Amino acid sequence: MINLKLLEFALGSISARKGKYIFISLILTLIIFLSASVFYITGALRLEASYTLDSMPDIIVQKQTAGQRQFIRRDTADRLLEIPGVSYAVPRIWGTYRYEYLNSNITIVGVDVFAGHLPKDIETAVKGGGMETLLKPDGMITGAKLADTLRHIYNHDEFSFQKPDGGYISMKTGAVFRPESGLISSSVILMNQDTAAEILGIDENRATDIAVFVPNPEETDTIAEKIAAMAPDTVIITKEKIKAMYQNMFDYKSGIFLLIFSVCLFTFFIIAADRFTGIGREERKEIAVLKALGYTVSDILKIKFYEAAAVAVFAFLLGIFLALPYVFVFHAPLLKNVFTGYSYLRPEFVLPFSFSVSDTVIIFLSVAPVYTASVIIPAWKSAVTDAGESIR
Amino acid sequence: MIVMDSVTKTYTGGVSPISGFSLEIREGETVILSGESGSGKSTLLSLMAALIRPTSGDITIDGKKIAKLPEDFAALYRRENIGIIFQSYHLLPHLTAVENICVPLLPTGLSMKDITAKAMNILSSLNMADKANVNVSKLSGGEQQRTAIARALINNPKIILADEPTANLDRKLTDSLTDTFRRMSDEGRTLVIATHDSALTEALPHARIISIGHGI
Repeated sequence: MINLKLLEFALGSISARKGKYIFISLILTLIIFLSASVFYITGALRLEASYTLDSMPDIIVQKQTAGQRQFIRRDTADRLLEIPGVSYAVPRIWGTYRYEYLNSNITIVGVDVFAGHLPKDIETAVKGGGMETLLKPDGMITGAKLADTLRHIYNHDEFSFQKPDGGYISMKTGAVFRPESGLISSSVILMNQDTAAEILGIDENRATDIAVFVPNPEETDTIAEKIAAMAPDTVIITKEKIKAMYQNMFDYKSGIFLLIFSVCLFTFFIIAADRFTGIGREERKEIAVLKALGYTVSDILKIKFYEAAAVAVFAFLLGIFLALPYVFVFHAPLLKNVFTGYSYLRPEFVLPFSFSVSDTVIIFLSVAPVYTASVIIPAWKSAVTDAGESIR
Repeated sequence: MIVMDSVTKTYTGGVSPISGFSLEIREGETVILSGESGSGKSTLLSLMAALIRPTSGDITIDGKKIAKLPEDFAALYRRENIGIIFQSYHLLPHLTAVENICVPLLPTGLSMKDITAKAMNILSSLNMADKANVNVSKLSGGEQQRTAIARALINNPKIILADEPTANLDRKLTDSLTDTFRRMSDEGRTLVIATHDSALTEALPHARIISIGHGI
């Protein structure tokens, strides 16, 4: 039961020690803001990755010899289509193009617009005016950031790719992805499949891999086993494995960050708590006076609890209300790079809104009780000692 | 009413300002504990208020032994029976006069309205009503003293313990305080005043004076 009179008294005490409580509130707000930002960025990246994964094939089949990946025969797709439960088996042309000038890798994806089954994000790009571009042998669709960068460097929308034989193929930017089209796909260049094969040096009867689509998710593992039996020189990657890989990547990065952050936080908190939340001479005297006036230990602890709770709740709400726009309106400048890596051509992507109540509760529970305890424990120690000496 | 029987208080470090002290104070009696600084007067008041515990001996108030009361029972005992006027007032500097006076009753079940009405009545009786909403740090020494007295009276205590109440007051304010003590005495309250101010002693001729020396 909250004693409103003691609550009012506690709020008055906070107002009387503004300097101390403003400092503590700022520390707590900063801690909560950073923790919440990390949680929200991680959640948004997971959501973003899940969007991208949704448009991926259920199974990817790659050829591997002596542990090295090789280009796979296109007609393997025909054999895979014979497996019951497989709706599509599509040879894909894609690969990494090293662009030394920007010290970056660009992913080139060849698109056969007549293939009948295109991943959702490519389909979106194609529908958005990209069809004409992909029909042309020299047309390409890029992320907006890459398009801007190339335009900045060359002053026009053309870029020359060097083929493995030393020759060049000149390509024009015909369209750009919308930023919402996905974190991973936005570092990609889409182009006509034949041109892509030429730039990447892939023979016409070969492909990078084969995308297999399985309508019934329950059958994916069984079909993967059948493919392994049918083509023992292949590596089979299911969507679930890729999901797990992304999960591990985000968990690893957020784990490392949180570990470092926690160590800093802990050290800072100990110093701050020792210096600012310990009971000072004035507060000890106030507790002694209250005891002399007939306050029980629990009355005093109630006041201290109200003080701590008011500061913690205020800092928590402020930290959360700052973290939400920081992550979802301003796209977490600086902090986002910790989780996505940094390169000059890093993709411009929007963190999708992903508010987790459980994460928010965890943040509150990991900060508020620690702070409250750091206020309550010294107050309790002071309250249970003889008051006589403190007020003479 | 107040019975101290062979009370000894030894502080950490071995100092014993009170040693084997016995005393009886009747209900409604005014007692002045007289003696020099450090003679043990304040220690005696703290013992009567159950703010500290005696090392040995018994203290009985209204037939109730208070010497070994657990902390919270001692607090409740003070809330119901004792009003303390400290030498340095010990008002809470961030509160106004009326808020300071209300402090002792905040943990009780009384409504804030009732508590404030009580506080205003007492302030009026001490001619301080116009200062009710002034922050205590802006009050003069005499006004702070009266605020401290009002705070000691808010719980309508049977016993008032005052520690060097005139130490920070001039002659005129001392006279005014003496009048207040007389009124308290007339109301039937038991007054125990620790002082080395002979003027206060002379101004309360009906008071029983107990001289206290070092290590009584």
